[in-house]
Amino acid sequence: MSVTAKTSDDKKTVDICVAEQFDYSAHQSFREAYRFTDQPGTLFRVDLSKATYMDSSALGMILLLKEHADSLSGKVVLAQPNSAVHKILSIAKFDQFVTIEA
Amino acid sequence: MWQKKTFAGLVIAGALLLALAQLLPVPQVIVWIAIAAVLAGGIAMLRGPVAEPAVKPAAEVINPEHVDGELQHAMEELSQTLTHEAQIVNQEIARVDSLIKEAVVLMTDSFHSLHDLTSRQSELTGQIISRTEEEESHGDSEEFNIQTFINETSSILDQFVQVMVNVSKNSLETVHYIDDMVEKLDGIFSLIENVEGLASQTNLLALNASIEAARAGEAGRGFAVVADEVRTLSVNSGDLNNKIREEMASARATIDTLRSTVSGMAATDLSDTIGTKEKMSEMLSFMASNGEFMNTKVTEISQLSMQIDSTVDNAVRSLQFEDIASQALNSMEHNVNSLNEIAILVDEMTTPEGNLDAAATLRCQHRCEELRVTAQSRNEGRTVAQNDMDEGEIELF
Repeated sequence: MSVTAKTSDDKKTVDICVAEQFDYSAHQSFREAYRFTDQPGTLFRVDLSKATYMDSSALGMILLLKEHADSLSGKVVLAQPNSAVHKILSIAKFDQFVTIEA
Repeated sequence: MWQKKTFAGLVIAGALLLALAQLLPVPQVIVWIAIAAVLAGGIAMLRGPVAEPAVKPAAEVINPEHVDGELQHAMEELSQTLTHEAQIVNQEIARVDSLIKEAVVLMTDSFHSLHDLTSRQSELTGQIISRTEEEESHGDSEEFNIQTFINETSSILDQFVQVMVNVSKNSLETVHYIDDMVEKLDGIFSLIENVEGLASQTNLLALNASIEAARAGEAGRGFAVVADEVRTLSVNSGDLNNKIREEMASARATIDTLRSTVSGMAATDLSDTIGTKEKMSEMLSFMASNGEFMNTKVTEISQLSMQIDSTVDNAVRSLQFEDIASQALNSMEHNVNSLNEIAILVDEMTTPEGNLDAAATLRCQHRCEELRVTAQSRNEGRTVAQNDMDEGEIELF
């Protein structure tokens, strides 16, 4: 599986790690990673350090995650994207409404 | 006696040399030799009468005013040669004068047209500069502007990316709903299975009922009919369940098709967009540097035009040499005319009978002195007025 998820013990942080191709094939497992989280104020941390490629569906997934987080008054953080992935994020102007950690 | 004639000849030759020296650019040495000759001859002639008295009686045998054939012949030759040389010099002066005039007219024309061309050139570069400045200051004007175009294209590209991301998001959302729907469908399938189980149990129950009715004999006959009907109903409900299952399966196939179609909309490769976007920003920076380069070069060209203008002005000013040269040639004509006059005077010094005309000789001497003084004063005036061409400024029209 290219997507692995881990919820912290206090259930306030969900770590989602996407490896290699972040594309349409990941959408179901990506959705499952946050779908049943209903703790208000949850922090969703998407670790992109192992992702090598990203297409528009990945951006759509992040947007849906953001909507879900917003409905819980939570937050989404994208962590350690490589330069190619970072380029895509900045072209889509994601850096303007999602925190990107280097 | 011949001494006196020699001295007179020396004076004339010296005067001649002096006149020629004024005419032609001869070395200073020759001028000095000429002056020396005139002075020596003059002094010797003045001295002559003092030293002569002792010889005078003997000399009186021959007419002292008589010029012998040889000298007369020489003087005639001198006079003719002077006239001839003067004529040639005059002819050359005229030729040089006309050559200079022609060349100067031609050069003036060339310089004027060069001046016109450079002013046209600086006008053009000025237009380019003002145009570029206009573009820079009115970047958002309605006029076509490549920078604006690139900016617009870039923002359209941004919008395109936004649209693409939104389409992906919406498609994914749809896919999620479809997934939820498929889950519900699966739930319905299991419910149908439950209903099928009920139908087969009902069937079994009806079978039991008809067996019990047969055992009851005549009294159970009516009950056997009911049991048969119940059994038919259970079979019918089984058929209905099968039909529902088939319909549900075809709906599921349709949903699967819908899912794959929508998922096709969700995924778009962004590499091309990134490439285009990068090219755009490259183009923008190239445009900026290119515009800057053009500006500096055009400014340099316009400065060059100004330099060419001033160079042309200098060249046109230098063409004043025509004035000076023609004045110099004009004064040479004066000198040559003086030579002509001297030739006539020399010719008059001897009478047709071969005698030395004392009055004419004196006249010749005086005239030579006069001519020398005139030539000298004119020469001084000229050297003061016409040596420096840079003093005058000429405006181009």
